Amino acid sequence: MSDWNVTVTYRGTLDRETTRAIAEALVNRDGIAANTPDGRFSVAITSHFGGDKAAGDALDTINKALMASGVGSVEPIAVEAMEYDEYERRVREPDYPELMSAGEVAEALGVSRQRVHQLAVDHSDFPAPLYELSAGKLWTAEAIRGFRHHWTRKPGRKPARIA
Amino acid sequence: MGDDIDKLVKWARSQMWTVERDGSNHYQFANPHGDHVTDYPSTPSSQRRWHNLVAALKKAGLRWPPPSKKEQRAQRRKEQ
Repeated sequence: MSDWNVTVTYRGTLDRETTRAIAEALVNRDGIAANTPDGRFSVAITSHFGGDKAAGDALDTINKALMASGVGSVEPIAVEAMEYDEYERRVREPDYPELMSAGEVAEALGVSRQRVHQLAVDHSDFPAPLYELSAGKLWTAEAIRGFRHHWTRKPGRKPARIA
Repeated sequence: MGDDIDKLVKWARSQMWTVERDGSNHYQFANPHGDHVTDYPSTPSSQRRWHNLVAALKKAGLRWPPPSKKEQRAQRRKEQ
């Protein structure tokens, strides 16, 4: 059975000495204690058990470390447990979208920058920009690639209108 | 792992985080508001502890991995 990662969240914040004391108490379990911006702290460790057993093992182990480091007995408000490979995949994954400016959209679609703006007007299914700034629009690369996938390109200029 | 922590520290500082190395050779990470986030040894014991550090910093608001140069240019334009 593969190892699991378990992250347990609690209410409250920790000072420097306490985050270190908890991490040192859990060094054999790869432990890290950290504050989050919303007045909570979390402790993450490795468990050699899987599933429900991983969560139970982690809660017990972390509780002992919290007691030993002077935090005392605190009730967890969230427990997240997952197979280690999945945890590592999530850690490596960027947590923000890849963005493209008009120049990069033009490059991705093989058109000019002017044509990008024209496409946005002509095609109701052209992706909406994520940001519209004074410096220009920014799209998510994922949306642009999606558009490129189903876009039926019609080469050549539009025929001139005859009055 | 040494290169990774150097890269992470450099990036965090560029994002207005404070990263100090204390007398025990531990890095102290504080967010741009100056709030303490976590502590990490400069000679970590395992790759998994590194993963736990990265997960904790991401949860505390640090974007990771750093965007490509192209995305950083776009980010700068966004901020102008």
